[in-house]
Amino acid sequence: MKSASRFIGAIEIGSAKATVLIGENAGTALNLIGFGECQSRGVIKGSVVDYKAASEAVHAAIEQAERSANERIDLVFLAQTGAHLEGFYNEAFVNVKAADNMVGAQDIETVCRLATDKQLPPGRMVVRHLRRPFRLDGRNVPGSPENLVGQRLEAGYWTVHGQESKLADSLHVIRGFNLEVRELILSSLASGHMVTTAEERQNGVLALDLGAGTTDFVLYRDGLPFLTGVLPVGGAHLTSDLALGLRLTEGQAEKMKLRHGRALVQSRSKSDKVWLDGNYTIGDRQFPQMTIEQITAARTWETFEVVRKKLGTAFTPDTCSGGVVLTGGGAKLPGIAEAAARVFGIPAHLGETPTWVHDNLRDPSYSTVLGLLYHGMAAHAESVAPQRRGFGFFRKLFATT
Amino acid sequence: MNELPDFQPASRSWRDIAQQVRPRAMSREGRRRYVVAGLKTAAAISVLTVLVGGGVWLARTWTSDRGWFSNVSGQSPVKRLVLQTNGRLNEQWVRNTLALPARATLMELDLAALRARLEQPSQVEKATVSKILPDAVKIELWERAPVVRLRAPDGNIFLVARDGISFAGLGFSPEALEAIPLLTGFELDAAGALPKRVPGMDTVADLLARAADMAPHLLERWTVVDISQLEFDGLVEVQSTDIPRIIFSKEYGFSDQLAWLDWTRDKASGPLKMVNVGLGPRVIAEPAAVEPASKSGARSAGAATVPAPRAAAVSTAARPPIFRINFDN
Repeated sequence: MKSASRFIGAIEIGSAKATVLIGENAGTALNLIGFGECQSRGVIKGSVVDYKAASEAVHAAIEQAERSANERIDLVFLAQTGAHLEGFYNEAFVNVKAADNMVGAQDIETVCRLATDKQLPPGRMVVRHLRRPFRLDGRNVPGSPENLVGQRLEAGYWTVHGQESKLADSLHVIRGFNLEVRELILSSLASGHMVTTAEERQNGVLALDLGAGTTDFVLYRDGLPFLTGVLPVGGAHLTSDLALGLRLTEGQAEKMKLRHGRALVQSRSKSDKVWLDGNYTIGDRQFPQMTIEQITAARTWETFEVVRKKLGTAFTPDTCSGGVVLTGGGAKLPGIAEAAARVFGIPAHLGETPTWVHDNLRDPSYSTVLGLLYHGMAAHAESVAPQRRGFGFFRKLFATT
Repeated sequence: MNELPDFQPASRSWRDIAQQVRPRAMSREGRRRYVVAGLKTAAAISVLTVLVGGGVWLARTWTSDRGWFSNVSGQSPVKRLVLQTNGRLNEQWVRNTLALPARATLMELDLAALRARLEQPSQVEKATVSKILPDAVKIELWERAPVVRLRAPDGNIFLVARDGISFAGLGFSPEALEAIPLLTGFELDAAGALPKRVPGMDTVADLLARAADMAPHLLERWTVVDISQLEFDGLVEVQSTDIPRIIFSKEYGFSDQLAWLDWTRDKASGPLKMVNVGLGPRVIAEPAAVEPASKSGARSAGAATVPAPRAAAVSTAARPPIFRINFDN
């Protein structure tokens, strides 16, 4: 099944939209052949709260993608986000067993097992173990420590775990279309991998994915994900704040946010006014530009502050010379990079999608689903590589006979 | 932590969640896919079951009835020859020609070689050889149909087919050979042997076939067909038991010529020596010579007893024994 899977679906069930990409596994290459998108329903802050509504939206997006690809998805990589996701760091060490102090495979396996083997509270399930670089006698080992000489081998894992019921809900929405979820990938890792370069990850970079319902972040150090997190705050909260502050409906507030919202206050005069609709119809009225900017900037600023607080001591400007990379639909807010740079004290810029991505998918809001497919394919290729070799042997055998 | 401790059970991963949902929790498309997947699985199981069952059956048959394998694989000796032919060759001839070894099995047969053997005599135009499991060989022969017979310089009698190929006439009885008209007037090759292909046989075949259709009572009297004038004059001369010379021409339709011949023969009051129907509607007939005592009367009687079908016969005064009938009018 694994090696026969040619058409792989990447699905992001977001608070604002459900997005599906279909990739064709063409050996060493990945071809994007299908795309589907549907306005999301029944999903709040990345969690399914209405199974039927969420299923309808997601399944509509899958059908749309399959129609555009003219193929059927074999298996699915699903993006996982939500406020229920939490992480902790756990580390372990072993003394190298060999008499010559050469690290063996068993030492590595043991230390990894110890570092990941930590009991979780009831109802919590591991989503991902993110390994940090090994340390051998206190020095960092970027790759595998096997065959290196030392006495004390240390390993540490950032373990992301989530609430079982919410994870199950996401899986069941996909399974309701009779599709199997092969990989559950953190949204932050997916988008972070897509908008950062290997060099940035090596130097240390913070990737922020500003979605509609959540803000996902991942901090890379030494080329590996060091820490991830999810804030239950997103672009929808800016809309909500505007609706409350200006006494607007959600739709009107969303329109004001997109037209006049900014992550930094730029307007200097309260007399600068903007029209709600600008067509002089009944109900059309004016609002101070400065007020809109103050509301959106305050929430954006606050969001970044919370992220910085969550990162804690893991984040320092010195260890994050790659800066801050912003992506997601919220990254389209004008001035957001400057705001991020001020909060984090390091340079910030908007993430750029690789040039091989089609123009229609270069919008920052698609970076998660693109990264999902890219990240998932890499993981999938690693997992099926040995089996592929076996299959090839049998194929050759049958071809000969 | 230096020693390997007793590990606590590993934390549960999202992979431990059962992804399966009840069909009622699926969307319509999901349910459709679910059913299709179930049917595919059932089909795969069925195929597997058939394969396994077939394997078991084969294994049992191998142990209990090994002869069955030799039967289906053509390992048993050839017992029957199934012959289909459109000619005279019989099974005995086929057996002698093939000369199969006594215990030859189907698998040992070289069908191409057998076919070549069967096609060696020119009487066989085409042959096919096929195997019929478990122990039979089917042979189909397409033989050449004889048109005339001829006598070779060495005195042997051969038959000639429409394509001009001559053959020995295997399987023909002497009576059957006698019934076939003898061909004369053909040319031998430079070595004085029979030519590989006798020319003009298609014309002769057309004439004889037309005669067999329209006038079998005439054909049965024909004994010799001469083609010496065929190449240059387009004439075929036939010798009949009642008329020594009947001349046909390929310029005119044989159906008309046969009709003229038959009419002339019917109208003639006495035996005819020669009838030439190869001149078109004008038929020239020459009565046979009569007894000396009544020679003059016979001449006049011969001329008088063959009237033209529509117009009066035009007789030539200078040559009273020959009369002409003009069918133009």
